[in-house]
Amino acid sequence: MLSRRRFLAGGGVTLGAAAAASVVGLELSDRSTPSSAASKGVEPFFGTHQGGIATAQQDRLLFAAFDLTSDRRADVVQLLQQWTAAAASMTAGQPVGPPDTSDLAPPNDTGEALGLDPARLTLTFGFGPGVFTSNGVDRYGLAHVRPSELADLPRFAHDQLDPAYTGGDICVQACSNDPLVAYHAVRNLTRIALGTAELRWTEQGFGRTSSTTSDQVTPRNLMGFKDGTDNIRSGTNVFDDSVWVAPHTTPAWMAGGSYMVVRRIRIHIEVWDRAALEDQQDTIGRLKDSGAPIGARQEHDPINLHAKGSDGKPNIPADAHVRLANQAANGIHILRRGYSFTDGIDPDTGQLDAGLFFIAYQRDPRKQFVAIQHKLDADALNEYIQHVGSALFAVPPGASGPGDYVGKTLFQ
Amino acid sequence: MLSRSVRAVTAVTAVTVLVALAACSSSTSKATPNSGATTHSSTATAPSSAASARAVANYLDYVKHQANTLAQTVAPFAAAVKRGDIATAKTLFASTRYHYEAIEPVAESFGNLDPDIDVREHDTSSPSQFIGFHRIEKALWSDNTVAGMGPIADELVINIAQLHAKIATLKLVPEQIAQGAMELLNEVSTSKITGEEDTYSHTDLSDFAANVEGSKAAFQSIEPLLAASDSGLTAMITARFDAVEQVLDKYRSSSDPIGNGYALYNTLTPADTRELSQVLDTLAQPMSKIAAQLF
Repeated sequence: MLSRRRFLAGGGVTLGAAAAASVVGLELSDRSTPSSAASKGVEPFFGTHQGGIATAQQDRLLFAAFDLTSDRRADVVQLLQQWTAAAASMTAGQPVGPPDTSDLAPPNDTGEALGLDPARLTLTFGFGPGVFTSNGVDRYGLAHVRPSELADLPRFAHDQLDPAYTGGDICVQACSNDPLVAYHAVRNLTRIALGTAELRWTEQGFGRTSSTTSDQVTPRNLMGFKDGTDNIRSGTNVFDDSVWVAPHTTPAWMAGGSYMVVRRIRIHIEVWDRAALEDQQDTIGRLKDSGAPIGARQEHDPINLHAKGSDGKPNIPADAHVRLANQAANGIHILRRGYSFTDGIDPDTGQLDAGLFFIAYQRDPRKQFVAIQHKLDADALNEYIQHVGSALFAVPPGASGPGDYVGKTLFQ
Repeated sequence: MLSRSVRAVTAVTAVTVLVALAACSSSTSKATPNSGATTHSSTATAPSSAASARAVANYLDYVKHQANTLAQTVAPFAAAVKRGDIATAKTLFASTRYHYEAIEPVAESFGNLDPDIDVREHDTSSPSQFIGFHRIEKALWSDNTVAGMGPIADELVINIAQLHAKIATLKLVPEQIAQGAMELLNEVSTSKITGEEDTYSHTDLSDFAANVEGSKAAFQSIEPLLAASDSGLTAMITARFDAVEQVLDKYRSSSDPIGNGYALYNTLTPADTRELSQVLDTLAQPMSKIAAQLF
């Protein structure tokens, strides 16, 4: 698997880049190592874990939540098999099959991504609470294997959840460095699903707000601040222990999986943009320009929550976001994998409808996301943001190869 | 893979089907499958010509029956308009056009007949082009006067008589019927779901039901040509027609005399119309595959 990944990632690099590498005397084998700096290439689809979690975060997202419309377990199994096959094709840069045999039928692939590099497309599938119990009904005989970790999220202070951006029985997280590739993937998966599942809601993310590997630079969110400086990075023990469900676990079908929390967080852009720089920095607890903690010099300097200024007040205010959300101080870690989003304007106000589409992966949302979010009740940031959408999914392990399918550990 | 040549052939096929359909109406040409279609017959067994003829005859019976009923029902509707009886005209509007909506793709193959009978105001570029059912609809529900509608009503009767006459000599081939079954569902998706078809009367659900009925009649007539090779497609389509009809049945209502047995569309919630749209799309997708199974 690794050698195939290296080969394909290398194949995605242009001749120009190869030539440049030769000029500066780099070994080509170095260049072919998968790197978050690469914008093109193929990410492996099959593996122990699903892609799109530890994968170096791509720049574009199309997230889709589906409702299951069939009560037949066999229909859902068939859908997951068809989705797996289509996802394996599309992540490899191939069209959805099978090959067309008649001009009198619509093509099996919709076509807009033909000829495009997959740009490191990953497709990540998750199961919401409705797979286990929907309106009190155990539709597929799976209620007894619903993980306790998949407990419905509690209501948090300041939540103002809109049903139009909340819930879903199944989700697909499509990430790529090419937005058309991500769109194509969700469009075709939606088409395949018709009759068994239908779209409930979608969100498009246009810039990552986290880094998931150590060699990615920290991006900025729509508040203009660096986001995800303290995010955990793949390839570390804290990542593995915080993100992946342990091998011997109950229910066993989730071993190697993870739990995904999604929050559509609207930023009151206009209000934020008229806040003084000092207020902005006190709200976040970091300096806007460098990303350094207030009182420190560089982005990755440790956050000193006890340091005080000459006025005797803490450098980082008591209600600053980094103080309350600080992962090291809390001893709680999640993998953030969010994106900026915009949906144009709010028709009622003419203000920008934009914000942060928060995605987090973890081993147990009750002990991780929920615990952290409760600490944010008094967050100064709440003045500028509002959680308007929410969803929770159990992300099963990856499919091992052709013939396997995502979700087989649950449905077999 | 979708080569450029394949796309070109598809486009040519679509054009030739329409041309063939138009040519059929002249009553002198003998309908045969166009060459673009017959070159893609490798995967299925061709149905016998007798079976094809039976399928076509069954569908033509349906089309002619609808055209007959339309020609009969448009007369009292036009008469009510001409004598200024707005209340009666309103109760006859949806029930008359039902029989047009059930066979609309056939009318669309006859040049200007479809726009002359059924054009919507926003599809016209000058007031003089706005005639037919929807001009009268606007008079009845929006203008609240039928002044000046006499000539429009007369013209509608004449155009429907022309349609009736052309249909009497219509010839079809099975792939055109498959195409028609699909087009009727597309009609629902693009104009009925949005409520823009009957924007003044809100009788869209009657049109919706007519499109679905017409699509089902077309599908059922060619179903015997599909059964041998379609690997579950016909069973899936049949079940999904049932699902659409079940949702439509939720809105059956005799309380409003103008709805032709259905609730007025402006009483539906966004969740209602979303459900209708989804169940319709779920039917239309497998329907899009039947033409390829015919040969």
